[in-house]
Parts: sequence; C-alpha cells; structure tokens
Amino acid sequence: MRTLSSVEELDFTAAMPATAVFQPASDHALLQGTLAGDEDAFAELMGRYRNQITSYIYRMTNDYDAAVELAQETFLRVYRAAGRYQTTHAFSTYIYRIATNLAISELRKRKRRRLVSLTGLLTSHDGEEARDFNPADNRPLQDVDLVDTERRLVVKRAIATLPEKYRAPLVLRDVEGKSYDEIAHILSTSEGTVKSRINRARNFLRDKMRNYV
Amino acid sequence: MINKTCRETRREIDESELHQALSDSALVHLQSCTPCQVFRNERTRLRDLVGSLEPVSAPADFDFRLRARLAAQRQPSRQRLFSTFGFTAPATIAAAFLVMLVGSIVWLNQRTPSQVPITAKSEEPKRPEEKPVKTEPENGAKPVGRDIVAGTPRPNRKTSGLYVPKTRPRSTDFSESAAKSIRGSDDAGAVSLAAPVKPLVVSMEDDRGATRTISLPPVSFGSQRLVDNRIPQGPNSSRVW
Repeated sequence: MRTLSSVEELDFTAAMPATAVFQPASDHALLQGTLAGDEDAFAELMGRYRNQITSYIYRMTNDYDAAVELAQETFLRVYRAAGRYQTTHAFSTYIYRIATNLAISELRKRKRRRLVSLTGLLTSHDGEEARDFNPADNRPLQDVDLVDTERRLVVKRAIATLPEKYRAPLVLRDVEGKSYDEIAHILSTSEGTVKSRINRARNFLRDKMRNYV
Repeated sequence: MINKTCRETRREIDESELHQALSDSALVHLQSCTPCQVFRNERTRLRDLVGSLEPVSAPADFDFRLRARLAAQRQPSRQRLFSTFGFTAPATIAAAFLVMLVGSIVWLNQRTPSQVPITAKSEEPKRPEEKPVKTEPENGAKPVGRDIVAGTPRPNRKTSGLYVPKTRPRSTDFSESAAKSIRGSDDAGAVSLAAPVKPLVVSMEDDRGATRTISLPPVSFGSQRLVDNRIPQGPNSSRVW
C-alpha cells in the first residue's frame, strides 16, 4: 500500500465523474418500482404521461370529462397489471394501447346508445362515411383569430366524424407524432394497414375541410 | 392521369414526416407533375391544420382523484366480500329468483282453500219450540242447543250428482240464554229501558267443516224490550215489559 506524502496527492477527480448528470429513471424502472410498492415511482410515471394520455383520448372522444375519466382508468389498469407488463415494447406503446382500447370501447358504447355528439354530427346509413350536420360557414371572416378558432373547430369536428379505425391512427400520427411502427404496435396491426388507414383518413378530412385546405 | 410514378410520389409524400425533404426522384417528378404538386400542398396544409390542435392538459386534481380511486380499490368492498364466499352475480340472481318462486308457491297453496266459495244453505229460520222462559234458571248455566234442520229431505247422493257429506250439517247457538224476568218483588215500579245487551249469535258448520257465524243485533223500541222477532208469539206466550 502506497503512503501519501502530501495532501495534493489525493486525486478526487479520478474517483468522481467530471460532470454529475442526473439520469432520470426509465419507464421500465419506474414500473418496476411501482410493482415493488413504490408509490413515488408510480406518481412519476403518472406525471410523465397524464397530459399525453388525456389529450390523446380527448382527440379520440371529443369529450373532456370522458377523456379524464378514461385516462384515470388507463393508469388504474397500468397499476393493476404492472406485474404482467413485458418489456418487449416501450412503455409508451403499452399505455397508449390501453388508452386506445378504452377510447374505442367508449366510442362503441356511445354508438350503441345512439348518443349523438352535441356538435350535431350524424353518421350516414353505411356507418363508414359521416356527414356534417351543421356545415361550416363558407363566408370569409375578418378577424384572423376568429379564422384560426373556426379552423380548429372544423378540424375537431372533422376528426370526430372519422370512423374509429381511421381516427386512432390519424390522431396518433398527425397529432401525437408517433411513428408508423409504434402506431402498428399500439393498434396491434401491421404497418401497411396503418399507412393505408392514415391515407384514407386524410382523404376523408380533405373532403370535409375542402374550404380550409 | 395518375401513373405509377405519381402513385409512388404520393405515397412518399404521405409517409414522410411533415416538412421532410423528399427523395430526388420525387422532387424531379413534382417539378413536372402539377396534380402531384397540388396533392403535396393539400397534404401539407391538412397536416399543419391537424397538428395545430392544441393539446389539452389533465386537470389539477388528476393525481388526487387517481390516488383516491386506487385507495378505494384496495379497501375490501362488499362485492369482494361476496366473491370471497363464492357468490357471483348470476348465482345471486338465480338464488333470489328461486326463493321468490318457492315463496309464491307456498303463498298460493295457503291462499287457495280460503278462496273456495262457501255454498250457503237455505235453512228455515230457527223456530224454538219451547216457550220463552219465564223463570230465571236456578243454576245459571246457559243451555246450549243444537240447531237441527228438521224436516228437510236428505238429498239422494246417487241421483243428485252432487257431493253430499255423510255427516249432517250442524249449527250451534252459543249465545242463547234464557231471558231475564222481572219480578214485582225485585224492583217495584222499575222498568228496564235497556235493550238486550248480547246480540243473537248463530254459528253453523257447513259440509266442508267451515264455521260461519251470523250475528243478529238486538232490537229495541222505546222502553219496550223485544226479543227476537223471529220467535213466534203463541197464544200462551207472554212478554215481559
């Protein structure tokens, strides 16, 4: 063992990294912590995804209260099934899949109950196409803010009229910015099917918003 | 006219990221194909519009509500108590239906005999052959008599076709008692103004064993005390005033 002759020989920099970088825990680690009973880990996980999931379900259902309720149900299912989670896919894919299933179930329930949205949208006889019950006013507006507001309203209405199988991939792609591969995993389908559905969804939207595009 | 190159270019436009540079071949085609240029502009504006939707945020009490729901799920609920004993919802409904069915059957069985209509028999009014008792009975016992329908021909069971019980119908008067007499030596000059207190009650049994009771209220007229009007007044009978 070597003896030190002076204090300067102590080299602390060699034992410590040059810059201490805080590495946030990964989603997998947080889920493992949740499984071990760490409530803070689950709170961190919830903080990361609560706004994304709420926003995504809101785009799917066009109902904020239902979106919040379903987002909570999504986290409840994640919490209950934390032990069954497999790390083959990203956690975001896993939680988006749960949220998608819940949102589609809610849309089908509403369809069965004949709950027509307050936006006045009616589905046509074939169930695929949808038509606008209250078409947009084509007259030009003077105020730019009003124009933007109306454009957003029209986009929301147009998305809400899409059939659910086209709505989910379109929202995931164009609103949430997911990749085709990730969308395919979320929807449990092939990538080609996702591309095809997104293409058809965009064609639907183009037809509905011809005055704005 | 959309050819193969147009389709490939449009597919590339559709699958590319927003505002992403296209391949050289697609760019060359776009310079010469006006419909594909229009398609690209439409798609870009459309994706811009859809992407311009502002994301919504979760409410401030999202965490609190979620923790409350998690805590509520941890507590043993009533449903879990039922599931502990192996009761499921369909089994509970089936058991309740079975109990209601058995209860209905028991109730109907108990209710049916009382609903059998009782056939009333026309009998002649009671005609006591004895004269009204003038004297007070010495021992105070109430004579109990049997009201026997006399003189009614017995129906022929073989010819009438109706069920006739072997036992004869009986009727009993439990309240018949001797009339109270007023003697001159008891209360001189006092005349009772009170009407008979007890009504005349006749109890009869029909052929099914059911007992029917007929109550005849007493009748009074001023100070005159009357006995039952159905009692005929014979030449030797006398009333007590």
